Amino acid sequence: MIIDGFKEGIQISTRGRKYREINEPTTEGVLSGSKEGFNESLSNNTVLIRDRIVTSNLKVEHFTVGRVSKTSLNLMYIEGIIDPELVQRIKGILQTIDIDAVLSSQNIEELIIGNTKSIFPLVDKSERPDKIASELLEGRFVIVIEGTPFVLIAPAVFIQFMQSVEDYCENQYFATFTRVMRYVLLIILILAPAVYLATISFHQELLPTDLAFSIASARNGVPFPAFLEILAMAIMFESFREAGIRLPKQVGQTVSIVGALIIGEAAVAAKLVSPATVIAIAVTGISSFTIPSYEFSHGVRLMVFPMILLAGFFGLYGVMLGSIVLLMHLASLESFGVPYLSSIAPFSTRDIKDVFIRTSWRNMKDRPSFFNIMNSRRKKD
Amino acid sequence: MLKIKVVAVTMIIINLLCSCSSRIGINEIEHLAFVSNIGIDQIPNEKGVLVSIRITDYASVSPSGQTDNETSTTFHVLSAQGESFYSAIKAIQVNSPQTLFFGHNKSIVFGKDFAESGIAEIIDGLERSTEITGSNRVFVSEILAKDALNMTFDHIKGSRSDYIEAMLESVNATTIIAPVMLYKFTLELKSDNKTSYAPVVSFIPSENNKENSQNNQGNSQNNSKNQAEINMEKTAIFKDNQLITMLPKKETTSFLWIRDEITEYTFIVPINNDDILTIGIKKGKTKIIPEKTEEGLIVKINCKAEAYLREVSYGTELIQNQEAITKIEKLIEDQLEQELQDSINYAKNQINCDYFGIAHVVHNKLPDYWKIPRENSGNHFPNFILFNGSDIH
Repeated sequence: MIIDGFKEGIQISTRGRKYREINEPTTEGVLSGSKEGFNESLSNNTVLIRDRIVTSNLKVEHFTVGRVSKTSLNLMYIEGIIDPELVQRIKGILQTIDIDAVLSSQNIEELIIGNTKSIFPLVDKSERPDKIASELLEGRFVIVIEGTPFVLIAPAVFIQFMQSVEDYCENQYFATFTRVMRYVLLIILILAPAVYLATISFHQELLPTDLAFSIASARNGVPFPAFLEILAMAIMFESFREAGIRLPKQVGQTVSIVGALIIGEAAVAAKLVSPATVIAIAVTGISSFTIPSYEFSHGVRLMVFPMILLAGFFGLYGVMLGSIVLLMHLASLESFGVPYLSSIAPFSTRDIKDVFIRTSWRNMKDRPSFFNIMNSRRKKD
Repeated sequence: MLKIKVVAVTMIIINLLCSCSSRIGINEIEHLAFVSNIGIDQIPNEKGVLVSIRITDYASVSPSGQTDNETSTTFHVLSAQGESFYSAIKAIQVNSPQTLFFGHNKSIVFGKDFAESGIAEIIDGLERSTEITGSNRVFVSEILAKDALNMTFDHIKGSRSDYIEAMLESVNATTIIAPVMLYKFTLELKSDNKTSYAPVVSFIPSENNKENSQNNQGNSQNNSKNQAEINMEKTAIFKDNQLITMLPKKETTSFLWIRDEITEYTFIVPINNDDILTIGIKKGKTKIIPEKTEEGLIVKINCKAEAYLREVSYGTELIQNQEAITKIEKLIEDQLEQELQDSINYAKNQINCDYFGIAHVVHNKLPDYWKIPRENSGNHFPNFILFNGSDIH
């Protein structure tokens, strides 16, 4: 760049490439919120976040990770809100990553959480700039990675995966209703097939009499034990889902419809499965789609299978045992030192306003208190 | 890690092979025979009991709850004799291809003769059962319990598994019933100073049944299922593990008043020659208050209820003003007190048993007085019973 009146010019690199357009996020669609989503460009994604938080306190620190891939990533946080110790900790981790290549956000996610083994995600990720901005304002850090539209968010806690961006874009009462429904459906998702199996195989007295007759009548002639029937149906459902994702969009939809409707109905007509089992598995499948975080729903869906096994072996005793072990596991998890069940265990009355309910923005005066933040006040009185 | 893999593979293999062996604790729901009612009778001139069970045939029930054929019977009754309740049940099980399941049983019906002979062992057996729950209703049948279970009702179509609920529904509108659950029946049966009771079920053969009987004369294949109309106005009183009396309708009403079991019923008050007032009574509440005085024990019985006019055959002038209403209230109170007094006299003089549970109240509220030796082994009537402040609005 040569400026009139100056003897010297500035050399600016104009290297670049074409990226995908900014489109609506594919995994986090909303009806009433922003339709902007990240793409694969680090600079573009960083700008989208900057557009929403216009303050000099928003810090962007650049790192290059991967001996071969030389992948660029930006660590972003808001100074004055985030705990400085947390910033030092994540900086230290990023600086010590020694790997040949970083090709997806999952590489970084697994490298920064350490040795913790869990089917539940300890780092959240999002394609939405508005969600990232909101998490930064709550005192978290985010990692924007070149080549992926998914931005990592940490520390991540259980309640975060049950909150949808939609909750904050619509009426608080309806948002509360959908959030409560989501928690109910989460329990149904984990327990419905197991409880159904346990009651029809071990504890028939728990069923209302007419329902027991109806189920017994429907199962009459089904050649397989209820345990195998439910297990097979759960596996089939996962197969259809997987096939639907892997195949091209148009074909995927066809496979899902053929699988769910035609094969399901044919299986019932051929007396290979009972209608009640199809309903139990279908309800479970639909419940899994209501969880806002795709990552988290993966973990929950995996829990269905051990629960079915426990119900098949030990009835409701096994289901209770499985539930207790699951709760113990969740309670033992930590994300960057923050208990995974924060707000629920340890219980916080201050934070409960945004857990099972979504209170009015007028009452959202404080930021969440379950991790150290420098400025807890969100709104003036 | 290796251990986990071994355990996981073992569990999967055992489950996959589950059809090769009968798994302890697991009963597939379609392999169960759902028993909905149990009937227990005495075997004439023999030791032991005749146990009958009513099983709903769910194979004929479509998922919508309707029978495939409305005229078809959706239940069958199996009976067997045995030295004890469980040996009879075992005998039934031998002849049943499905496992008998009592978890959905609704009622236990004692035949009158059996109830009179003593029910202690049966009650003990029922209490020890892990499947039969305390919420089962207890009834006494004037006919054989086996025949009672075979009854069908003209107005109950389809697959009503809940036979006893249907019975109660059918009589609820016309009579006063206080259904008794097994846990309460057993508790009171074991109590020193209380008696237990159960509604008495009697059947009147319906017109259809009479016609069928006439048509079936000479026909070797006799239909074992009888259509009937039900009557449930009497109450069976149990003391010392056996049936001691069956209270008629009028005594039943008074009994339920004093036992504080009254809910809603229709009360007829005769006034002026042939005229009557039909009164609906609801929210009945009774308090028994024993008091120790110099003259001895006085028991005050205080009845409260809300009443509403159902029919006035006398004419409208009777309810023209507040004074007339007060007069009606007084009439009801007087008649109620008279009926209760008559019932207490009946219990005292005819049955010689305090089945109202007055002794139980005295025992709880005046334990010192209760220590005085009683005559007639537990039948305790105070010298003076006063109806104090019956309050009908």
